[in-house]
Amino acid sequence: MLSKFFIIFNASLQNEFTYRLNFILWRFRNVLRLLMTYFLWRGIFVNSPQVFGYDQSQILTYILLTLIVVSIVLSSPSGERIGEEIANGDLSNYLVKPLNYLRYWFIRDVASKILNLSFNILELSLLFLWLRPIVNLPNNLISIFGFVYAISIAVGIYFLLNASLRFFAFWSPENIWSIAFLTFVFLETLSGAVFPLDILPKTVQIGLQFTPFPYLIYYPIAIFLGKIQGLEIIRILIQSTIWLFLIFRFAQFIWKKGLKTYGAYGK
Amino acid sequence: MTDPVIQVKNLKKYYSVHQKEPGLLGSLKSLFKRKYYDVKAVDNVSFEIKEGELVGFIGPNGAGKTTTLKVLSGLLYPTSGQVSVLGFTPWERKSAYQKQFSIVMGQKNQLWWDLPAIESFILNKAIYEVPDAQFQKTLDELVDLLEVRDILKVQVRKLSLGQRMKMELIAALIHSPKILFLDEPTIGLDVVMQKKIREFIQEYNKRFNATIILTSHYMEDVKQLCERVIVIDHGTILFDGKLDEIIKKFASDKTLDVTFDGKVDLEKLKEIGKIESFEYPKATINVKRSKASEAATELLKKFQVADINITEPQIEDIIRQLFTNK
Amino acid sequence: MKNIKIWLKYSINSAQQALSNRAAFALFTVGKTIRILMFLFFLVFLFSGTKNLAGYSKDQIIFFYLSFNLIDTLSQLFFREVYRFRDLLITGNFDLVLTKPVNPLIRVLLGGFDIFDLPIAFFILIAVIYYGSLNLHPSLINWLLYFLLIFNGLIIATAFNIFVLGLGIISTSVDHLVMVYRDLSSMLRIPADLYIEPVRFLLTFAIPLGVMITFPPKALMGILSVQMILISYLLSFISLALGIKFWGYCLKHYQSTGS
Repeated sequence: MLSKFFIIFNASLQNEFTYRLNFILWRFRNVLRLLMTYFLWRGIFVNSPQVFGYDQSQILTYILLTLIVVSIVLSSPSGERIGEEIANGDLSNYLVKPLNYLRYWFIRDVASKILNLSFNILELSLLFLWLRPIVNLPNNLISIFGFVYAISIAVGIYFLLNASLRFFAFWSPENIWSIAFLTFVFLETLSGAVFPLDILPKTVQIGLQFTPFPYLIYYPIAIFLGKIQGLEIIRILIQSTIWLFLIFRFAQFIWKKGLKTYGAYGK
Repeated sequence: MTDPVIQVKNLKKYYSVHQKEPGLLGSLKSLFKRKYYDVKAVDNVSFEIKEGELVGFIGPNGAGKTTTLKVLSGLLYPTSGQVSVLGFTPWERKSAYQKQFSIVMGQKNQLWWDLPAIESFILNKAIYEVPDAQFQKTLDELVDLLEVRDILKVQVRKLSLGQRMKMELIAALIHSPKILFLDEPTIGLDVVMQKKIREFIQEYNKRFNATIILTSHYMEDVKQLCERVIVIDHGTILFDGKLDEIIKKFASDKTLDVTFDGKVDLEKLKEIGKIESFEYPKATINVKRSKASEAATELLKKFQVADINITEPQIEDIIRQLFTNK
Repeated sequence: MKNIKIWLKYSINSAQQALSNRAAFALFTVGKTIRILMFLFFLVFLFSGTKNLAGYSKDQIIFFYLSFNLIDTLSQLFFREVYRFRDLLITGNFDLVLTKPVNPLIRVLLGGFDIFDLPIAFFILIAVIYYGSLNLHPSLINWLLYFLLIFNGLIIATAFNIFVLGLGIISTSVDHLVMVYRDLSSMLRIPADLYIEPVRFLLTFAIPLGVMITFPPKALMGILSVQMILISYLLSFISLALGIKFWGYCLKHYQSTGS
């Protein structure tokens, strides 16, 4: 089992390096996004000391953390491939092997995440040295543990959410990218990747807890920054765990249903 | 004699390919530093083809057949050498040239996947500027030849591989090209469909006096269609001529099939040649090509023979030998 | 003439393919609309605290944003096929494009007119005209300049896309590059002047995205000098010429895949 893991892991990493220009552009894009967000907020703060009740260093801290969390949680190349493989029938190549399809892609995702994160940290540190933004990080052990836990759950939620969306390719392969597109439009904003969710009205914030989105980006960061404390942390962590469980069952359910349809097609 | 329509002189096409060391470390290294080496896909190839000829290219995978076709189609710029097709230099990609030839590749397609094939034909009509009347006439002719009238309006994705290949052929021929390059046109098709496509190619060649170059893995295609073949391996031409001359040139042996009518002394029989099989009353004996008739006379003299046959070896076998001996 | 006919045929085919799937059409349109509105809310929200950003009023900032969407949607409408170029390359089907007696750019750059973007483009155009006339009171000349510069922006977009395609031929890396372009242009959802130097300068002139996106609304507001308008035309034609030259160079180095 473990050796299988490492072989898949290794092959995935090598795969990423094959297309040199592609790799370089991927990293370039990453740095660019970082700079874009940074400069966007710098621009906004040019003539207003406070926006949404945040001052400049608070927002920058939030944004920098977002970039790290996004690269851990949302970097998941599997999604598109799963949809494609179901649609074009390549899935069959996996089904005949003694291999768990979802686990296979999860491992490939982890490989990609590790790669992404290690380069990300390197890039971030260089940018940090260059721009020297003022940020304020807490040094509270509970916050850090909560953050680590929240982020692991987030990785799972996102992977399963993404995969189960792509499983709709079993039924309507031609609609799957538009379904995914629509979901990502929501996800982009409602996860907290663009701005901190606590600038939204209270009722909206409460409502959002009943969607999986804020658990992906916003809550891990909020816990880390100590915006959420004490029992509140535990409540959020339990809620996110419940979400992971629900989505896991959902993904399994769809997968099984989908396989039946797939078999019937005889691709 | 007509002038050749295709002239290729000292054509070379080298690719530079990068090498990767195995393992993750190798991958990381290849990000920064890459070793390149040349692959000689086509190495000093020359030939001429006359109007109306149907020539087969034979060779193993990676021999340089397809690369040659791609240079002739103007897809690739050669490393060196001269090529002239219908007086044009292919890689200048002049419209006047492109309107007179077509390339069909068994593994590539130009049809719009989600639309009926007829839509792609109409598109090609516009691209090749085929006049209405001519378009209708050519289409009718091709559709009847290939028997696809009833599926013209079916989404391409719903067609079988064979049907799709027929449609690809129509799309490629709608502008009545004088020159046709067929790269593995029968790949993946079943035997019946292969035969149909083959018959079509033959008919097209005759009816329109089209010049055709064909590559195929199936010897049957080449045997049925091509009088002349060019054998390529490792980017160089091993043979260029009539198909049956391959046998004379490369086959060293002939086979004697004998049926005996009386007792056979095995020891004596061994003196005649190499015994491939012996199962009384039949025997198969291999002899040197030059000694074939001599051996036959000797057999008739020394044994009681009911029947004797001298046969050439199969072309497939010779070709296989040719490539494996390299 | 022939090229326009072929382009029309491509567009009709694309539309036919796209429209066979109405559900995707609806989902896509809804998704796009929401995405556009989300950032709009963000901008409006931003102004709940301040009266102006870098000297621009709320109306102006929103108009900049609408203009960004106009150019962005128009260039996706016309250049959608660029996103599919990688597929065409790795399947080798690009070979069959190259052997045809028609400029391959018609197929790989313009061949996928995206009808999905048409309603959005239309609504944004209405919004631009309505919002612009209502809040910014431009003269007819200003409107004329605005649309001339939008057109100019599309020329820059053309140049950029040709460049991406060319790079695709020599390296097959199209996807990331297209996204880099999209990311960069999305920086200009807000006017280039909001960025600190040298970011502003780079965005405007080095990669003439600022010329493409920020200049038209500035012309409408009457805050763009005549010199700048001339420079922007010069820049777009230089980029287009360079793009086409690069494309020719790349075609020479095309290594058709597959045996």
